[in-house]
Amino acid sequence: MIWQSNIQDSFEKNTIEILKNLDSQFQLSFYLEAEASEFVRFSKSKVRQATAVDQAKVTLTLQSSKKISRICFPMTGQPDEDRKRFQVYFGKAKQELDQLPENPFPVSFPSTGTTYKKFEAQIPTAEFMIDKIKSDTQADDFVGYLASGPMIRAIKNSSGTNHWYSTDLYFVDYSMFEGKNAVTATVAGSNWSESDWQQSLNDSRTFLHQMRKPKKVLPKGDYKAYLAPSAFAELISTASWGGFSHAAYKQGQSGLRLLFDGAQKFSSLFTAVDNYELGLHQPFNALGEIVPTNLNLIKEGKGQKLIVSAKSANEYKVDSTGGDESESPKSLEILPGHLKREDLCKEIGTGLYLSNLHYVNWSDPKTARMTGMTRYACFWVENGDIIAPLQDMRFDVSLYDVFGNGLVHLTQFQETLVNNLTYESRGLGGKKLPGALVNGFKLTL
Amino acid sequence: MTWIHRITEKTTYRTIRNEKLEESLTVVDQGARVEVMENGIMGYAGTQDLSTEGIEHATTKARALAKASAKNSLFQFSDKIRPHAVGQYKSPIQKPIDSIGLDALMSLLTDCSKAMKASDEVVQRSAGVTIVETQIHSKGPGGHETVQDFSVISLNISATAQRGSEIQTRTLHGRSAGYQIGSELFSRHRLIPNCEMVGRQALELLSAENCPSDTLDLLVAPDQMYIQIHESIGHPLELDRILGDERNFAGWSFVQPEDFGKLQYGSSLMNITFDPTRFGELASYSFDDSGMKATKEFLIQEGKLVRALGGLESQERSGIPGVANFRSSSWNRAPIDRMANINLEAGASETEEMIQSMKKGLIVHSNRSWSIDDYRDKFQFGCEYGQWVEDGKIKKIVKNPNYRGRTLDFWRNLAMVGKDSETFGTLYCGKGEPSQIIRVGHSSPYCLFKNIEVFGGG
Repeated sequence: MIWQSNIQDSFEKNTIEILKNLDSQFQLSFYLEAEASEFVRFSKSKVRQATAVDQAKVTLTLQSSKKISRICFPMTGQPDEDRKRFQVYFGKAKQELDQLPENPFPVSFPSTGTTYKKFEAQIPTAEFMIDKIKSDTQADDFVGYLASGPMIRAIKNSSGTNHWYSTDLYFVDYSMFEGKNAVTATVAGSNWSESDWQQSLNDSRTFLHQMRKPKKVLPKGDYKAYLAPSAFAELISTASWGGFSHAAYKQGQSGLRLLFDGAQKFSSLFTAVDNYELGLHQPFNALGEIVPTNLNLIKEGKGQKLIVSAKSANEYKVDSTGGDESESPKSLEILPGHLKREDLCKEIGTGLYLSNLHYVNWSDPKTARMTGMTRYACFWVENGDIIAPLQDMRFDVSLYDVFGNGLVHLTQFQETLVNNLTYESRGLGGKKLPGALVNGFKLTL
Repeated sequence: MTWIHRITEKTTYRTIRNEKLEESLTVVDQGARVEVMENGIMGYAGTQDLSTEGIEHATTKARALAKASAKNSLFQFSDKIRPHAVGQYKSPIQKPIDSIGLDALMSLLTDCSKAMKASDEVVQRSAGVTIVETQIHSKGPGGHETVQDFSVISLNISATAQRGSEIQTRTLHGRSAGYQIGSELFSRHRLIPNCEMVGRQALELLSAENCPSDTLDLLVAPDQMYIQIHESIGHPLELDRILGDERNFAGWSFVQPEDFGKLQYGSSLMNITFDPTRFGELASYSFDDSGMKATKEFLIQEGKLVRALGGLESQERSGIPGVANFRSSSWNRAPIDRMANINLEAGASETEEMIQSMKKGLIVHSNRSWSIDDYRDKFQFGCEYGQWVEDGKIKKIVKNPNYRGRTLDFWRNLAMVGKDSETFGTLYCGKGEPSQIIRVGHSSPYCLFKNIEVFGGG
């Protein structure tokens, strides 16, 4: 693809030029994030808006023995224009070094060699998807969007580190409605799979069909609940806002502090790993460190390891785990249990089948208490049978309760949920999670 | 027909933690969004290559997308969705951002960090600023041209106190202190006392009781009102949500198209405006991205819903009156219906008068947690700092104050509205597919609500 090779050539040429002339008193790195994306959003099975975006940004980090300066700037893929930009922003970074206070926790830019990974695939174009929605969903009320195109991450630094990772990815994140009843799904990957697409649409229609009964309105109280992988992901994603961060732990901002203090624990069924072997995220960070393939965050219910960035490693005198600044897991896997799909409703007995949760936030970080809403295909189950869809309810639960003594089973199956956030740019990463059957899921409103 | 929006934005993040450098990052963004209308639908393409060839390439892409979209478009728009406009806007600043040098700014932030150290128990003291300078230059057919320059500063002041396993964080206004302003914001004699207060109150919270569970009068401070307005008024009134475009992500709305002009949203004390003209508020501007002139409008008047937050495209689709709020986060996203400045107009009550009227109640300050359902009905908010009131007097400080309720019940229980508004906002309102974050402002006085369920942590 022309755009991709233009970005690659320009990045190579301009970084090499500056690095070869770098004064030895400096360390310098360039981190590239780029994408050529097509987005099409659909509402009522028709096109609402279609947008194409080519974007590339470089984060330049310049460090002397006592100072650090960082500037992020856009690249065009046109070498001459980019050359000006690299020179201008390198100059500005040098200028800033004189004015900034000392950097209390300087890090050495790592020397981790050279890697080059490029994954090419047959991903759907905007026009393909517009035709697909027209042909396949005209009898449905389909709403959602396609995000598709190549993505690049690359790092080059003055210690000789040189990593390149590019991949072609897409997802269609959608909901299907019948009145106010709704189901949601994501079809994602590298190569378009017609059978996966049709299967997803058919599964959604089946779920919608099950929602045609009048909604069950529940009183407040504690319920046995099955959290499908997507619902589980909402809780664990919120827990990941600082929950696994060494800096947040040390600075009193971790919602899982008591777990990593050893004062609380989850069930021994619960093991969480930041697992880069899933191939959802590039294996290096913005500094050029190679991340370990497996980092045990929670092992058999006990807080095991926190994610440590190079800066935290220096500040708190611990080893870096290759974490980026956010120190959040990028490829979180919760290991599976033994509950079979066909036994789900039987094991729920009487309780809640929660496909999705919505807008989860801390209600008391100290006790890992979270609130949020049920959303989409959630059902009332009675004596092992799905009886009726649920009226949306607010919950407020402590993770130490529902994933502690309250955790009854994890499912044998897991689902891979790709990162579908597109704020400013498309993200990499994702999660691989089982479903969880828990007691004491508290509904409050 | 083709429109081109060139957007340049520089964002700087400077933070001092415990009197040492924590963060210094400058992000420069520059690009153009080309919009091409074909057969009543717009195609969009964003590029960072601003050369003639780059813009031509983006125009070709946008045209191709418009043509492809026209095969199955949701609505065929008229050319009225892009009115002709000529004009300018500049943030009302007294001193340019760069009139404070980097070393002086870092020195001030270091002093802010120091000022929070009310005792050794205040273990984390973070003083940061986010400074955003944006220019949006739009050109279109027939001499259409607008230039809008924004200067924005958001303060991030935070103190964390720790005693044993008890940890409490207090911030300056829950990180909602964002304004269109210049470097006059960096006034040492205003900032330092505020930082001292933040440190002191973090310490107070260590000794405070947990907020009791009860149903009582709730007095909400403006730095919590901003998000109450945002979540339970702003989002549900967005016309694209009501029309169903956001159902897959942000959600739908309990508000129905037929509710406008009829629904009694809240008590008669409730007056909500869309006001892009308010001095210094985060989302003040002269034109939205369609070119519609931005004017102050009532959304809710004496409690009755009268107007939606919908730009010209949503207005044409629905026939519902709207406002100039069709906005994109940047050159790389298509505009959608967004909040801007959504304000609760001041009433007649003094704060002291409201406290005196409370037999038993809670005053909540500074948001720390927010959650609401996808129809914008059932909400729960957590705040940093609570004051417990009995017999019209503040009796004690309480920690972890939370409250929950349902939107219409809550606003219909609005019993008193303060006479002095304060302005807050956020740089990070999220919405849209692909997702966008945008700046929004909310002004409000203290407001008193009756019969609200409150509770604490633990």
